Amino acid sequence: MSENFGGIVVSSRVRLARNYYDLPFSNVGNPDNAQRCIDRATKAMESETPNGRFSLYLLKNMNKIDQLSLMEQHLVSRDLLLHSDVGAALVRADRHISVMVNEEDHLRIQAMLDGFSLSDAASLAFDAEDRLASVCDFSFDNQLGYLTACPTNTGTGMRASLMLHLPMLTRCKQMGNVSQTVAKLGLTIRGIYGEGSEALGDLYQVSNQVTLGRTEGEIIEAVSAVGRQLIDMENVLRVRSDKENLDLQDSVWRSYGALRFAKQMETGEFMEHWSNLRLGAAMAILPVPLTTVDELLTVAQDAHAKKFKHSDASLISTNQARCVIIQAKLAAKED
Amino acid sequence: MLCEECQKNPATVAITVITGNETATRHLCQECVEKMESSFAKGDMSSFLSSLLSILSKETQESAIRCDACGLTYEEFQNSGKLGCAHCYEVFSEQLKPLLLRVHGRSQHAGRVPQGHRQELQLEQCLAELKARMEKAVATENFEEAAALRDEIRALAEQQSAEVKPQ
Repeated sequence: MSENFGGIVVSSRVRLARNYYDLPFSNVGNPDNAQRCIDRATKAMESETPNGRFSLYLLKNMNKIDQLSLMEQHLVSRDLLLHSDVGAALVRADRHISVMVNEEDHLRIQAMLDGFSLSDAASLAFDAEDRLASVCDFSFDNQLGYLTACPTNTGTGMRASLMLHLPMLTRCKQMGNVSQTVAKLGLTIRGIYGEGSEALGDLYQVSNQVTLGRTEGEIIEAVSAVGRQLIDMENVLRVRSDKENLDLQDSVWRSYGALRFAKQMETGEFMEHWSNLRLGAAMAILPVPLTTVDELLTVAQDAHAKKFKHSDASLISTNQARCVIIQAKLAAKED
Repeated sequence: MLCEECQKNPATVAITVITGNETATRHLCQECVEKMESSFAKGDMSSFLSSLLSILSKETQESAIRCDACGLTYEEFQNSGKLGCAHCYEVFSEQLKPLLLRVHGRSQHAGRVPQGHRQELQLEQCLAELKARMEKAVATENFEEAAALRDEIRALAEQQSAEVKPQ
């Protein structure tokens, strides 16, 4: 069972880095090797699962907007888009598992679930890994574990991350301190699109930095422990500023008003209002379900809005399209 | 860490050479340091200096190491942070060891093991455990137990080499 702890945990993700034992890593590989990786992975995932089929996305056959839309759904990474000539992704129908092919490593297996469910996400990733390994063995060393292109991932090749919404901690300017403390524990805090990305919308990913010498279970436990701590800290601040607080009420309803009625909005402004909307929904101030708010996080991003704009000739800008998408979602939830 | 000069004894002395803006550290054993010192005392400056200069050239030599499987040089790895293939881990093992330890704080994998490696790894862990027990038995002069453990280790080692051969 997954829980979202008062709406603070947005999602849980587990990523495994794997390389085929008989091919050089992606950075020195040639297009033939890259194709071999795609063929092997596709073959491993071709049979239907109880949760649906895996579909193959070849980036070179997709336009930039469609590629970015995959990234906004967290199905591929920014790094994979940099290798769009050879990059590919196998995505399960329910979108909980995706296998990136020819990123930094031959395979990056990712499992994503809503709420606090790192262990379940890890099981999904391991199932996918077993299927992929049935076609060809992975590079493994008895001492160093799974060998990866970057030595910072070697060992388990696993990154477990929790995406947390921490608006109160951000407002109290606590995140700088938190990041420093977390680093001492072999963990790291990043923005929503991973390494180097900004913490837009007060969203943070807590994940492990260390991959060698700790078991997958220990890594999950370490990330969960820090996650629980951050949830507690955020919760204390939420309880302290009670929901009748005028400043809180004002900022939450003001953002709701903007999202509900504005005619055009840039990503930065959207993410600010989105954070207030999510806080208002989580604290039951606003009549909006959290699931709707979390859907907006994906469908109101740039590539999705651009795509929508192309489908409707009456729309003149991406920022206008964004507002139409948001308002359709929010209006559908109103009584 | 072994002495960088003789590659035999453990390094117990660190010598740092500063030339202009460059610094280089070399780790040596007591024996090699004494050799260097005696050549200095004898007034054989040239051999003393050449020992010191080799410290500087060592770093240049390191960057030039090339993986014979994928062709990547250590310098290329230093620039990109990415290795070229699994074999690079063996070729650059000396250089990677401190780096891995710095990043992860540990050097032995724990966690999932692919099916094909499971048995092999179990044997290895078992052997290491038996060896540790044997050393302890010797240290406590419990020679009977040590001999029994030695036989057990031999049998396991034979089993291990028999399993490796057919591949």
